[in-house]
Amino acid sequence: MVIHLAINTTMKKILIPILLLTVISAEAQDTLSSLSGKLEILPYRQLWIGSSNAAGIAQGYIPEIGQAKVASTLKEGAFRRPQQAGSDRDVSFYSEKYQSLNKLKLYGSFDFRQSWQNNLEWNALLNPYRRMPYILADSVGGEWKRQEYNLKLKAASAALADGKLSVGAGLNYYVGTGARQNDPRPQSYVYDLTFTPSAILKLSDKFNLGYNFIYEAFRENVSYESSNSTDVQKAYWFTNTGYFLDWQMSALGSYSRYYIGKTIGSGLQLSYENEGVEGLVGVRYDRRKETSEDGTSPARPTGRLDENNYSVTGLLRFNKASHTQQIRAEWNSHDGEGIDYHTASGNAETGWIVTNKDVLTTSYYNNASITYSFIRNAANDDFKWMAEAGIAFDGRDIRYLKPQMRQNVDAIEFSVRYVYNLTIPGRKSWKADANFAWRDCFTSYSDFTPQNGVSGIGYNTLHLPDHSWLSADMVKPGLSIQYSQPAKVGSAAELFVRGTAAADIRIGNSLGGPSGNRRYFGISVGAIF
Amino acid sequence: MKNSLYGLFALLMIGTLTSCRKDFKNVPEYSLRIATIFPSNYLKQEANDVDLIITNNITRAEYTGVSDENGIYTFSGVMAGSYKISARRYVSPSEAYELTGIPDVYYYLNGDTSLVVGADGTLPVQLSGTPNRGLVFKELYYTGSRTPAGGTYFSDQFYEIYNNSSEILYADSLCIGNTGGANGSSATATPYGFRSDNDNVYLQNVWMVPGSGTDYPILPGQSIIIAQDGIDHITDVNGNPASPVNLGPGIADFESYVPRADNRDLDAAEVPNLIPIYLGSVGFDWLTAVFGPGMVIFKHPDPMNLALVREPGVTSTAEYMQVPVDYVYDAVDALANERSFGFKRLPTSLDAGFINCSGTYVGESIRRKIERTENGRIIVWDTNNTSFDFEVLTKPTPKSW
Repeated sequence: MVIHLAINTTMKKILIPILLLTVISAEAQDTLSSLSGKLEILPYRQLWIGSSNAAGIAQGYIPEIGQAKVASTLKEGAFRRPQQAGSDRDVSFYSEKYQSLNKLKLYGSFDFRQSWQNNLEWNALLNPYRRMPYILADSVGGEWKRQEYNLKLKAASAALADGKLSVGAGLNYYVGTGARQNDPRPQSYVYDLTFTPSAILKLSDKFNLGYNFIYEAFRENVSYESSNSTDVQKAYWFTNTGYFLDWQMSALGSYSRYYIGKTIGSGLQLSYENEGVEGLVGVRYDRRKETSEDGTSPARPTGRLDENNYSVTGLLRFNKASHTQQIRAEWNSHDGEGIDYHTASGNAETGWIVTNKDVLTTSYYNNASITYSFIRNAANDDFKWMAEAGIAFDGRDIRYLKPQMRQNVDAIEFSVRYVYNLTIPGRKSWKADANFAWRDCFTSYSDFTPQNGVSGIGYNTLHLPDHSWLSADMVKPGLSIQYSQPAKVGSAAELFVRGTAAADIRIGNSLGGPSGNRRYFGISVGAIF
Repeated sequence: MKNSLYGLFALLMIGTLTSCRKDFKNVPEYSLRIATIFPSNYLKQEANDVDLIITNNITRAEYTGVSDENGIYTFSGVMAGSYKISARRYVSPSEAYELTGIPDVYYYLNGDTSLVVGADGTLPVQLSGTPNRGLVFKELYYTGSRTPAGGTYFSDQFYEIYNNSSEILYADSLCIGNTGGANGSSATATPYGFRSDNDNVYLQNVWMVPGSGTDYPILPGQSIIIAQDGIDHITDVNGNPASPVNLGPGIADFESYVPRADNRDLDAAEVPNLIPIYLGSVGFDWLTAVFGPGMVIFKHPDPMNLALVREPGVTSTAEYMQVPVDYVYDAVDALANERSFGFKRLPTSLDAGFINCSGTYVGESIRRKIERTENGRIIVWDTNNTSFDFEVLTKPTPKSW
């Protein structure tokens, strides 16, 4: 099946300015530092860069630095969630750049990804893991082809109002499309636009207060078609993965579903900066609504997710000439309600009649992490080595309310990471990144069972393996090696090549389900400037 | 010291987060009081001992109960939503005589309706049913088959009519027809516009068995087959080697030959033709829906002059033959899939349920289940509820079991 892309023209208009940004030459470098290390360590140098406040890129010093690279990755292995592909290959192009333009600070990135997924089952959505409980899927696996574009822009003003105010805005636009190559053929288009107008107010020499508004518009159009018009195919309406209603597609027609989402929220940040010490605390709240509708003539409402999302982040950094220490803590909570729309056949005038809409599912996802980092500094904002250790928690509480069923999974993950950045004369550098994580699931419970005479196919082939994966104890070793050198003698830009290998390896398997490991291999070449 | 603080912080974090469980939220629930009522010609109105099932049309959650001596049963804990309500009551010959004064008949009464539950309430359910007249559909094969090349073949459709009584019955003047209306293959189609009329059934095409009254006897436990084309579909050059049925002479008793100027319908010389009474929508064959037809057999003293009416609520000028339910011997509703209840086309008094096959051109048939055997004669279920009476066969069994 040919994937139709209605986005090429738009993307060209967006891509060209980004590429122009990235080719602006970089600043000169000391011979004992590299741009590669400087770019990687940038989030550990600049306080606001990781926040949702776009005006933050005008706070403090951000070098005019960027990169462009092409990459290819392969993911394969039996230890996977049932809605993940058996193997997933992709090629991608990525470009980003921090840039000053008169009194504006700019950041832009562009990501294009073409991927091929084999043996992908139980999923007609580009991303079934966005916590939307009303999933459309079929049991027929197959090969998917996807194209995804992701554009990020940030712009921030220089200080206004006697240096007390900085304003900015962020824009994130994602477009993705994918299609399976065999009957029944799902095809999906996703459009996701996020806009974050932002401001930072200088309260004193040490304190800054930031605010950003969040608006997101999301749409996914999923359609099923069959080239063999006489076969009757089945698509399944899921309410989470544990409960589903099956539905036969029309043999002579097609089936379509539309997801329409909107998120509105705000973020508030407070920073503190003093000699040798800096910190940033941020809170965020947003409310997301995403509806699901089937067909168009007339549309039949299926369900709606109402979700309250909360986030708290804290960052504390101690800077010395020789080293930097950082503690970063984060907590995210997604408190959702799935509202089932029950409909009855109406007539041509009334369309589908909504007979009731009740909250029949609830979901409560929590994740939190705390990470300590130690960075041995090098000249010109580069680093010699970095060591990190972290603890992360991931928990979920998903319930169906009538009949009452629930799924609980809680896991903790301990991780360590060491990055060694060897810069040698001539601005050549080797960088090795070794990391290891151990995930331990300490709560695993599910009493979801097939109800009301529906077959157990969804339960047995989707819910149980997924629950088993979520409940798995695993280790995650990873290693990447990068070599970089100047593009040519005396050039400011650097070329690099990076190879990455990682794996998720299950430890034990008392619940059955997927076992073994999942392997990741990646290679990328590019330039930093 | 610093590391200890980090560890303590992590433990506090985990403890706090894992204690954040959601309780089950309460889903609004209602009570639904069902009052079951015998047909109006019965001496008693309150229908006791009626088996009740209410089924949520979306979640398929079922609640069951039996009405008390006052004809009442109250379901509690019912979630809001749209429900199918099924009521079923067997009336034995002795009880039928007490209630109606009619001897030697028995009834399967059905009450079938829909309801949107959004508050506590009472719903009267009127039972209805026609007396068993002996002739019933034994088997219907409508799905068609695949050719060896993967093409579609529907000329092997057939309908088998069975004498379920202990007396000789005659097929002479027996009419057979199919309803119009969507079958649920498209979820967004409009249901049959005649659905609210419980006193009549509306047929798109009607055929009649020839005969003067006693020309075509059907012995107890025997049947006749009406074929779309009366040939051996497996071996005939005009057939389909992959068809599952032989409907040649000796198997098929009648065929539905569509007279056309181009003479395109196959006319098997050795199989008598039915008499076309009203052909509102046929092509070169009498093809009933391979997704699932609504089929009716009836006898009427003057079928040629039954009223023709248009379907309400649609712009089509197509007309359907109106047949009062009192003349109907048997009726079977087959729909596209198990969620097609909203597309039923037959009144409850004729068929309170429906059945579906696994797909189209799959070679499957539907056949009435065997209730018991008396002196070698098979007696099949006839409760006027296809959901209960029929089963799906992976291979048709014309004139056999």
